[in-house]
Amino acid sequence: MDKEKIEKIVNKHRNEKSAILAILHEVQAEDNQLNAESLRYIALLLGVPYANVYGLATFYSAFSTDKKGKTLVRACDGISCHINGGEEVIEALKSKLNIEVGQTTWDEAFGLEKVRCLGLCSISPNVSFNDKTYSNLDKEKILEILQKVMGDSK
Amino acid sequence: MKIKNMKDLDKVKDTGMKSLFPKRPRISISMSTCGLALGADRLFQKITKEKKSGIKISLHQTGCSGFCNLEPMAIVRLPGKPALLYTQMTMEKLERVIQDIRKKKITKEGLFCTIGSDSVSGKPDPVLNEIPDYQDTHPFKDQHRLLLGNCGIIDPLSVSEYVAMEGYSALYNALYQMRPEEVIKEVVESGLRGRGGAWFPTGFKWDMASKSSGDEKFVICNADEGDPGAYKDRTIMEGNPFKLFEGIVLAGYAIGSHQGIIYLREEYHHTFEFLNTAIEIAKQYGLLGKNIMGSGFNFTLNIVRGGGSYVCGEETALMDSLEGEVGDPRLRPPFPIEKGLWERPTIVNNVETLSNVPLIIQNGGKWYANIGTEKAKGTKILSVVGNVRHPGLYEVPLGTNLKQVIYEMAGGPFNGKSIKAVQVGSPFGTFIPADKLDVTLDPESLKEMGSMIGSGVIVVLDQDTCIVDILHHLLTFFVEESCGKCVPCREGVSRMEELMIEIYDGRATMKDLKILNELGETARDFSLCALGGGAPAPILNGIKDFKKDFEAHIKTGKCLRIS
Repeated sequence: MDKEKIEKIVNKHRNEKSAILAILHEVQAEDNQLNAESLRYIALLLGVPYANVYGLATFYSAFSTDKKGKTLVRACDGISCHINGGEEVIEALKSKLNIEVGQTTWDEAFGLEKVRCLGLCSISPNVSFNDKTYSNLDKEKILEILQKVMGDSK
Repeated sequence: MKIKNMKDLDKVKDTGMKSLFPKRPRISISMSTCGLALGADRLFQKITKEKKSGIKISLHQTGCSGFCNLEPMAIVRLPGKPALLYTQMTMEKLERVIQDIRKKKITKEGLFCTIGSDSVSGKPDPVLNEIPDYQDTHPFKDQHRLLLGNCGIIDPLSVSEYVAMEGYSALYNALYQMRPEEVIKEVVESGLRGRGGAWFPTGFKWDMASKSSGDEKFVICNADEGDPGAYKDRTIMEGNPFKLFEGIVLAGYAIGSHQGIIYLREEYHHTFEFLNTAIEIAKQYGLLGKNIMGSGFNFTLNIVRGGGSYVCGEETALMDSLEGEVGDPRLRPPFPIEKGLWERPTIVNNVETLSNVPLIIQNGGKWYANIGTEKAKGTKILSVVGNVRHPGLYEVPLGTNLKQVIYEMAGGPFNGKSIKAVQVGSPFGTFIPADKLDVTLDPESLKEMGSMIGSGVIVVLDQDTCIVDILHHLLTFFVEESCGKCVPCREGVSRMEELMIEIYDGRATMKDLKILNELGETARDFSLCALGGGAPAPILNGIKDFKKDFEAHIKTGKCLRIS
């Protein structure tokens, strides 16, 4: 990512104590990834070892050192979604997008992730597409939504 | 405006009353994460458009009442009439309601219940005679909604509406009339204990933190609501954030801290934006920042988003995370109250715990201690999910009967099925078989029968469930979320998962079940934190009480799950 953009984000949080998580969140939101180059520059600006910053980027499931899809599909795999047919929804997503959980489509349009609970347990199963969540899903509904989102993103 | 004294507070209260009971019709749409997922934003836009075309309506948003399956909800109040709750709103229903508002008429179709018949609501309307009040209506009936009462009713971003509901009177009294130790005394007397799952006495924690020396102390609000199936903290934060802020500032005043941090779980994207807005509003009113309510007390509050790691809900791992480290639980002692965040005295309290504090200060510790059991005071928000007719959040006094909650309040199982087991305190709780549900919900009673209440997640499983399937699901979760610091959890729980996969796929023998049991006991007894220590409980209990499910997988390769 552009060094200037990283500087801007780091400077914004410079006086905060718990800044690094926020910085990583914001850089990733901007660039869809936390690649080695960005991480090294963040480490340099903050004066912390690269290993630490890399450690954070790989420990926390919200961060990714690989490029994420433009639309991030997060399928809930919490207990309520599991009981109410969440697996079927995840399978449908996998087969339609033709990727496994944790992968990104070849054109980087979609990434598929499993999350443990979106906190919408009485309207499960749930899947979110970036910040838009869809609830009360089943196989048919998710395919319909996916079809629509795919059409929109073209 | 900044609230600097009692007069200002009264003025804000007045504004709040006018906003809640306006002279023109008021509509509020619930716009929490759940409402938005079910199309509340479209309804809101529709009313905004209608307003532009001339209809005089006061339009607001509200949070979620805890029953997302009834969303989107709309509350309509015609001047002088009780508030009316409409559930599962659609565009058509909304259009009818708006048409009727134009005619100053009550729409009876699709009306779920009325909300309160207090004096401000005016005279009862004959049209509403056969419409029940929400206190007599499923799923609100029999609840004791101390914390959730205003969620879904007031505008969560309106300080004045919260103040109209007696909000900030506790903080005002504390800052002006109570010494910090008096605040702590009330909390001790109330018997409040930590709602995140550990049930540690809150007053005791505060007392020790207040006595720790140091010019810098921290109040951390643990909002890393990670237990799958739990969404009570989200509901409080999105439904009544100022109540939480008030509790946090009271905690700061009590222990002598001027800095608070809400550690929010990463998955709650909407909540993050929402809380940031709420903090800005609280600052404008002088309820956060310098010289709070003109008392001279300063307190800043920030939100830090987690990184999607479950173990960071454990308080020492959470502090590591806040310090910009990987979230690894620390050995205790030293305890956070002596050496917490950046080695400063720190208290870590859950969202639900802190939200109880304003009520305690307002009504007194003794009043609070009258609710609940001998050892567990107050109410608990239960998240009842799974195979029940009315899943949702049920706030009940501690000591309420589990069977009553599941069958009477949540409506029991549906489609003519029966219950196989209930996991209370999920994910770490044991499976209570259907014939043993006659138990009171409090930490002591559940512990006695080898289970736990945890953060209050109750997973109801009907006859078509296979316990092996559920355990398999839980174990993959525990393995993913193990931080890897200690061997019993990192290796033990991973090997347990491998064995569980073998069992699930029908490749295991009965001998493997014994090994699984041994592994479970080791991880339980020797892990560093509650993740590895707690994970084996449902597995050990499952092997013992639901052997049939295991035998079906091992001997016949069949899963008893029907879906």
